[in-house]
Amino acid sequence: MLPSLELRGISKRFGETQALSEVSLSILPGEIHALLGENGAGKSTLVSIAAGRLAADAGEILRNGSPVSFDRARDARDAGLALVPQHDLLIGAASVADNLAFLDPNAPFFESPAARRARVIRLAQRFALDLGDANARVDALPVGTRQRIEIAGALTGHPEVLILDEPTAVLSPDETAALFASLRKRADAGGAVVLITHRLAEVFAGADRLTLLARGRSVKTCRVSETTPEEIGGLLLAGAEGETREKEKDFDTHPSKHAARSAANQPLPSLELTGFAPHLASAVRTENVSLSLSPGELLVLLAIDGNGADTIARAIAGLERFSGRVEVGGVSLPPSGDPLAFRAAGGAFVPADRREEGLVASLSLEENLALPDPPGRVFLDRSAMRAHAGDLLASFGVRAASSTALAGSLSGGNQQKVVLARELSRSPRVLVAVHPTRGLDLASAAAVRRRILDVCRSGAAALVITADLDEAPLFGAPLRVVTRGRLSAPLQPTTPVETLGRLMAGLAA
Amino acid sequence: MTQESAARRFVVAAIALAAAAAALVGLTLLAGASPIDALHALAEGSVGSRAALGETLARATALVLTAIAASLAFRAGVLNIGLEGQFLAGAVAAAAVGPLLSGAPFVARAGLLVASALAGALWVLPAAYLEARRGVPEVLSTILLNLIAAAAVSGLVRGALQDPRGDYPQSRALPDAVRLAPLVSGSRATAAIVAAIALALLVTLVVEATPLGLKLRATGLAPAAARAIGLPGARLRLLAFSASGALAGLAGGLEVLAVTGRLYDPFSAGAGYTGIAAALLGGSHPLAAAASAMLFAALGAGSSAMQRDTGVPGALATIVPGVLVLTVLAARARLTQKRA
Amino acid sequence: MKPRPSILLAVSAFALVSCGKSGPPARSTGFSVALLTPGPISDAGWNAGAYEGLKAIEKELGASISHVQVKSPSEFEEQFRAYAAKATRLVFGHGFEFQDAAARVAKEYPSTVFVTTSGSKTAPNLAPIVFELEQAAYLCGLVSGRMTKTGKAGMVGGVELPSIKSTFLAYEAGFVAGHPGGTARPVFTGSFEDVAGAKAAALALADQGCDFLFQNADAAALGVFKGAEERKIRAFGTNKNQNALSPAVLASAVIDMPRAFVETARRVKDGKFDGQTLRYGLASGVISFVWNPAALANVPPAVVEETKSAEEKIRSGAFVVPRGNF
Repeated sequence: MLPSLELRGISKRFGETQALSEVSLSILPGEIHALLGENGAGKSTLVSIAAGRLAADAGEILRNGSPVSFDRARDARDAGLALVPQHDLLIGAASVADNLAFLDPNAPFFESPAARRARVIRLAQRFALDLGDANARVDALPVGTRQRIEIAGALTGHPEVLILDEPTAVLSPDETAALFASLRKRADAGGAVVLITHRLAEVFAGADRLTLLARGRSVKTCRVSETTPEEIGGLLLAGAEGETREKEKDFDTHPSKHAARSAANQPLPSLELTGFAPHLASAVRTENVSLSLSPGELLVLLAIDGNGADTIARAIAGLERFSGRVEVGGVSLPPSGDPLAFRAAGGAFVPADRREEGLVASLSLEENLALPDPPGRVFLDRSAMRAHAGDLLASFGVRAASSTALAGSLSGGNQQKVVLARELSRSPRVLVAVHPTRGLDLASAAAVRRRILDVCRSGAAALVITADLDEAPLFGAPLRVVTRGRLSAPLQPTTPVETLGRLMAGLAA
Repeated sequence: MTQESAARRFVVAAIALAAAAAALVGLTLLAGASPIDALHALAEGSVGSRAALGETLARATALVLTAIAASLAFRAGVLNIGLEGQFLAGAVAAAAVGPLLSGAPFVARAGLLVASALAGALWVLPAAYLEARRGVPEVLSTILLNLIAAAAVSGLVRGALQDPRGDYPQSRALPDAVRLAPLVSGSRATAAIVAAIALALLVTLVVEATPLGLKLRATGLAPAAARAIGLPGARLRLLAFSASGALAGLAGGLEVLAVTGRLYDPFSAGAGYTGIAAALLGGSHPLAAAASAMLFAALGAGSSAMQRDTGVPGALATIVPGVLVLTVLAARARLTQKRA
Repeated sequence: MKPRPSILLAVSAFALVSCGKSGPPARSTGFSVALLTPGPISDAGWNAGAYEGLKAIEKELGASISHVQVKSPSEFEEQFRAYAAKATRLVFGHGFEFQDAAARVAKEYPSTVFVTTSGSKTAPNLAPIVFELEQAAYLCGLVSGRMTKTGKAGMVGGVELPSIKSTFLAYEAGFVAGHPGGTARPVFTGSFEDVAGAKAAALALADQGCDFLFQNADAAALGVFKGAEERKIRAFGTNKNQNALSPAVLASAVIDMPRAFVETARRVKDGKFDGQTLRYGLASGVISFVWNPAALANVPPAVVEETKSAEEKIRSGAFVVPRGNF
């Protein structure tokens, strides 16, 4: 059987970084092929080359056995290849209906708004994806909804080879299950699917074969049935280890140890919300929230994207207007939204969108890590910046050629680590982190969780927002589920996953 | 405005210069003149002799300052298209204050230049206010302020600032003692060009090597990230905007002090716009922008020589900066596409 | 790698420049004249007139000529200096605004003559051209005075500038000479472009009993003509021959700018330039008084005769027309 898509000896270099060295990959018709690897292993680069969005330095691409070359993404699409990128490329100022019309290669040039809206509903039903309001502007939608729109858009063209770059990171468990069901249907009909993911459970539940990349090389390709999660997990950790200086042992810290400490010694809460509600016209209406976190206390908000948890975090960080009262360390923040006041009161923030709000892509790592208060009286103290960056990059296991590399040249996961490194290095009084481990490999995610617990242990309060059902309990801290802007009662981390899943989906517990 | 590698900048500049030279040759042929004579006159008239070099440097003073003013604003993400208006505001201030100043020439000059820089900075305030409080894009408001400034110059030289001697629409002349004398006799280059180059170096240092500069660049490159990280974006933008205006105003003041000695109508041949073109050509790097400004000044001096010597309309050579900037933008876009 | 056409072009362009080093065509032999204009010579007005003069100098005096358009005041000195350095014999700066720069450069280049169109600065090798339009304005006044029935005339000006007021002074003198005891009243609209304002001024003057209108309002003159047509009174053209613009125009006081340039160049060529202001009036032919042939039938022959003899006296210097001091 000829492979639907075959990559042979692909190499690619970005500046000082060798992203891929002679990677080969073959995708058979009718299979779901998982692509695994630690952050920065080259997964996204490889699929971008396959989809004609990047040119390889060396190597060839074969479709059904014959060599092809893609000058433009359009060529790849015409050849039956569709890529859903990790970060969506939707047009922010256009509506959901318009974006999906643009993504549909068979859409007529002139099409009525009603027909465009009908497409949204049709796609949402066929692929069981919540695509939101057809008339909503895309830039007002949460990252998760945008990703689902991009997936639906890719599926409209009925591609023979569908490549998904971490599609499930922002999907709810139900949506993930529905996505896999529809992918399986495609595969059964002879289509091929390439799936990048960090979640081993998904791979073993839904994929046929897997390829493991480590540091730009393919390490292992096999049928899923021929291996075990333990073996692959071990290989993944081994791949990441070169840079992660400590071995991950008990990253699941004991829940009780942490929760017990809270609220005991200090009466003044670090973070207090009273009758709080963000003001954001286009988002889900959030009900008045009141909560209080004492020094050292950690609260996890578990929510599918688009349910308002992200907006709560952004409003606390001063990036949205709000009503009610927010106090950080006893200082009341202005309801008009002032990130400077939040920072001045000792707040740190890890945004969901690390590329737009987390980093300045065209500045170097050491410059990014020096913000917002770069060292130096008259001139920048470059050596202090370099030393500071060196320490942080090493201790967070960021894979980068050097501290002068541009932040934008890093892989998504490594960028996330840089944001975390900057925010956690400030010894904040209050940490608000949205999806802090999204896009990270297992080892890095565990390390980040441990670091968040560390800052709590040293007296900070933390509010962590996650959409990952499996991860939420791992913080060992109280949980609250956010659905349609409403917070559930506090839950113990020992709450069964099934119960949490039902709550997230908006069903009674 | 992203930062570029030196090698890439060089390639882009080479392509652009080649395209501009080709355009010039083609147009000269169309105008029925010999391209050899025309290009020879262009070269001779810009750098061919000490006098020509002096003309180039005299023209460059204003352009270098507006070019670094544009670069500074662009790097902080402020699209200050109003340099022309700020330049005129500076010139008006110089023409208004200059004849009143007495005392040592040094003191008078300093007072005049401070007034010019202040006037340039003040002229950005309406645009800065409208942008910060009413969300009016500064591109629009600054263009309108340019028109207002030009109209104001036209009115002032016929009104409040008109020279009482004679009925000509021009302001009073600066005393000869105050005017800057040429560095070398027989040439028009004054100490102003030295000051402009020193300021270009200073602005480069501030932008590239100080904590403030890093904050400005971060704000310009990624406003949303800068805001979330906790940079005072609005304050940084205002700072860059008014500093940019002050530099353009200073350019206008120096033009009066070193070159014209009075205010006329029209006063500027687009020094502010040429500064923007130079900043674009230099990728918003202040030193590269200053070098581009020198190139434009040489082209200006050379194109006059071309018209004097060969009769080719000088307007032909003014097409060259346009071709340069367009080619650079196109080449950069192309290179960026190839990489991404 | 494909060869880059743009780089090849760059190389060939530089090659062209370097082999061009043999030198430009020799220009500075003989009598050479240059012109600086503040605007494009395609403006069909101020700058076009000067360029026409330059071309006439080439044709009539066999001079080698050169022209450059100056884009801003910052270039004035540069352009003068560049021409003087090439030993150009005569350089015109077309406007008062060229005075300062010309005076500065004139000191350093005594063998080049610098002439500005209007202005007041003089030096052994620097002088302004002054058009004595007043002489023709006086004749307009004389004609009006002889023909008026009401003894009242009006004068419509754009902006109240000394040069405009000077022509009014001359017109008034002529009017009183033609009609002793008559009065001529001025009105300034404040604009050289406001046609409607000029027309309103003309109508107001007519309503006050004026039956002749003089004007010096540039483009706004059309408004004066329209007003005169409506009230069936007479008006005069100025600066250009405006006789064809309206049947109400009786005659025009005309400036022949190209002629002034040729006369100036001739004077320099013949070595007669003395650093004195170059005044051009009726005698030089630069200024002229031109009847509108369509209206001439209504003018009594005696008035035509008297005008002719007054013109003769002015030409010969026997009579001096008063002018403003500015």
